[in-house]
Amino acid sequence: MECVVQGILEAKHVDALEVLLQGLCGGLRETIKVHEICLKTGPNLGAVASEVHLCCSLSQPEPVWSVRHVGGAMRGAGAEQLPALVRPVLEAGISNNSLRFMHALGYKLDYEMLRTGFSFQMHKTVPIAVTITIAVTAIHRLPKTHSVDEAQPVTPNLHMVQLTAPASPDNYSDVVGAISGLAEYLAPLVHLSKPGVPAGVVPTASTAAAALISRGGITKVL
Amino acid sequence: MAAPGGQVQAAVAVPPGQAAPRTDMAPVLQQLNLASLRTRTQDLHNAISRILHSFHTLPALKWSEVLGQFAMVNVELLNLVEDIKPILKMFVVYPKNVNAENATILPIMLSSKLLPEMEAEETILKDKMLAGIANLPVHMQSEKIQRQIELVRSVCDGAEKVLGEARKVYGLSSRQGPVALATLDKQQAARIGEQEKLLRAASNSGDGLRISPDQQQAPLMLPPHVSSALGTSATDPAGASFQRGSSSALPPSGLLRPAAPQQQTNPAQILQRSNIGVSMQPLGGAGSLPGVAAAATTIPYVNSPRSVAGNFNVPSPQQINTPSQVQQAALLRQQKIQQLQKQQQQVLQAQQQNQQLRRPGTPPIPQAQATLQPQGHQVNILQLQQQQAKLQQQNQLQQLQQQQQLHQQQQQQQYQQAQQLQQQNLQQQQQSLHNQLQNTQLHAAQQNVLAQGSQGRNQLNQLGNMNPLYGNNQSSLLPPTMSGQSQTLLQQRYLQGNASHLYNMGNTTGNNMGNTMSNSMGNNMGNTMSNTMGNAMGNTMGNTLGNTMGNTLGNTMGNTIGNALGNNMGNPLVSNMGNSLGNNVTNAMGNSLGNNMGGTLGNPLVGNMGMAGSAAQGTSTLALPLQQQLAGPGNYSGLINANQLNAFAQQRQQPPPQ
Repeated sequence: MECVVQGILEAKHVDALEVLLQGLCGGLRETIKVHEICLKTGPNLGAVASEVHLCCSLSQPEPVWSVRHVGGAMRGAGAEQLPALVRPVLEAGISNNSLRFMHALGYKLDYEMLRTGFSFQMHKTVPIAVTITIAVTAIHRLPKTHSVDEAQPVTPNLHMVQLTAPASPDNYSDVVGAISGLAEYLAPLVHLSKPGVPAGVVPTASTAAAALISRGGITKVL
Repeated sequence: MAAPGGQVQAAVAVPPGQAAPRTDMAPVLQQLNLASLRTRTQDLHNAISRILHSFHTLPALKWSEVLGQFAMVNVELLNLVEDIKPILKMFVVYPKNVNAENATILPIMLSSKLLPEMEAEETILKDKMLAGIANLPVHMQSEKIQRQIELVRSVCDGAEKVLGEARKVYGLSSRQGPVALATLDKQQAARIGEQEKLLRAASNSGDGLRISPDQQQAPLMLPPHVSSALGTSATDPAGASFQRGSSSALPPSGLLRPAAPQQQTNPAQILQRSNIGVSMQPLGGAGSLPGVAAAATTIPYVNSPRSVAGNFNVPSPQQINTPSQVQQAALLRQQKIQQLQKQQQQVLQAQQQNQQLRRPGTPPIPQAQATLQPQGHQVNILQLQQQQAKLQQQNQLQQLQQQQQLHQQQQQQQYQQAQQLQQQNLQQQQQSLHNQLQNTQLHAAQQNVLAQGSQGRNQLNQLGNMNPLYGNNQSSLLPPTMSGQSQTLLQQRYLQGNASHLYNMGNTTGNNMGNTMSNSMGNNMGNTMSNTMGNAMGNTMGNTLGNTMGNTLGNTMGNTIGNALGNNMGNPLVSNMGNSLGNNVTNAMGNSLGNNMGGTLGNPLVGNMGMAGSAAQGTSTLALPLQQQLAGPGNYSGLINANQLNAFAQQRQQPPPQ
């Protein structure tokens, strides 16, 4: 299971957010370049369509494939009151013949996208020891199938900020608390909310970004 | 003013402390703590004077400190005033000099009476103002005062303007500035909201990223990670393995019919894989079982991390295009098989007497053959019979040799010579079969065979097992244990031609999944596909064949598929993915093998599996010609010889020699 919140950030403030995250999280910045292929079963395989995400990480010299299945979000009155979304997720590493394998099983290509950006990891101990991953990515669409080099951004001016943390059924409320605590730190720049709920931009983000950029003498580590 | 001022002074100036408490009210008496009030006011006065002094002297004062001190003073003052208020009602102003004219205006005068200091200041100011014009009449004085007021006002306005401009210039805008910027322009906010919806939808559910099939364009160059994933060259995006949308539906009887001409090599590869998988079957007894494990661990899959480059540096069938290359590859395999033969023969000799060869009670092949359509399919049988005769002779020779317990090296030499001869013969026969084999007819035969029952399946299993062993060396390297089954099994093998047919037969049993698998195979998805099919068929047929094959192939995918298809057709992936994808395949294989084979796997599993695996490699030679056979159109000229057919049937009906 994982807890997740999302927000949007204007492209001009991404540097400021990076400075802030570097200060909060300690500095290990990981580049993200993931070619995500979403496969869906056809009508001949079972009554319920099954959806699977094949993610190929292109940030390393050798592409690393992983498969990911995202379940439905937790529902109920208690879940609606939580500030974050809790959903079951299965993720595993996979060899690079996974695409053929999935095609053989009957999965068809539904859509694909390219995510580029960076991520940080924050280790929180209060209220629970958990590692939260903060990813700031730009989503690109691929006009031609699998043409990663011809990717075009879906929204050139907006980036997606996503906080995720692993959880289990008995501690997800604490994990949600940790995520909301971290979200407060990021409040000057980005409003975070559940994935399906629009949150808008922060009006005073410019001010906060200016303060971060001018104060931060931290050089960007690429 | 002066008369009541005196009395008022006494009442107002309470704090300086001319206290004369004259009260009879007991509860208020407690509040009348004038002494403490006095000390408090005195302290406050000292504090204020100290702060004022620090303002004048200290160069660097922070607003926070000043505000803090102001807060302290303010609180103290407020407390004082609160404490005084209830006491004040105990004091009255007693005007002394009241007469008729003062009576009416006295309250106003009392309420507006100033403190003495304030009065003194006011008089001084008045004197200053009216110093120059005191002697003038009143209206003149008022006019002059008015003009002075106007002058002062204009100066003040000018000063305020200058200050405002200076603030703007130096960015020292007032507190109202940021408040105005905080509200986004409504249009801008709406625009951002729309973009946010787009972005969130694209990220979470892929809206806006889907390309309709008619708008799909294949890129000229696939990125390297995708091309390696799909198993095609980077410049071949239109390869059959590049699937989007519905995969082409192959006829259920299609034996790996290549969907595109450039994919001819892939069926060969698939056939090879299926042959390898078939070799995992219990090879006619406990002696052959060990061959399963070794082959499973040594399956050379191109992209799998399990592939070991050591023993199987054999060019893939895709690279084998000429007979010379085929021979070279075959020679390589022979050498490796010889190495493994030593182990196998040692084990087999020990187990020879204890083996229980599978005896097909009623060989299904003759029955199937009897039902075959009288067309070119039986031409194939003729040639298979010829091959079979040779192989039988060779098998008998092997038995004699082993009984005499000749030296292993001598045996290997003989084997090698015979092997080369046989291979050449086999290749020639295969090439001739290439133009005569029809897929549908073979499939029909296989289908009939399947329908025979469990025994038939077992024989098929054995056939598959025999296939790799025979494929390369034409049984010259067969273990003696196989000789007992050689007759029937060889017939089966050559009849069936290829282990992949087993799985294709399964497709026709009316399983939708099987059709899907065959479709996938037809699209030449690669080696895993044959395994996939085998597993699916094995499960659906309720046979251990599929499970065993999939497991022994050493492929995680095989396990996954076998589990998924056998267990849950609806949503296999989710339930099994987490387990299967992360598994240690070796362990999974070992376990499943032991289970599926009913515990017949013995210790020498690993050793003999290697042999079987290496032998399986040799099936590429068999596979390739067959694949060519499959690809080519059938050209049967109706060469049916009933006599030969009967003879074949009679031979098949004989129990296999012990």
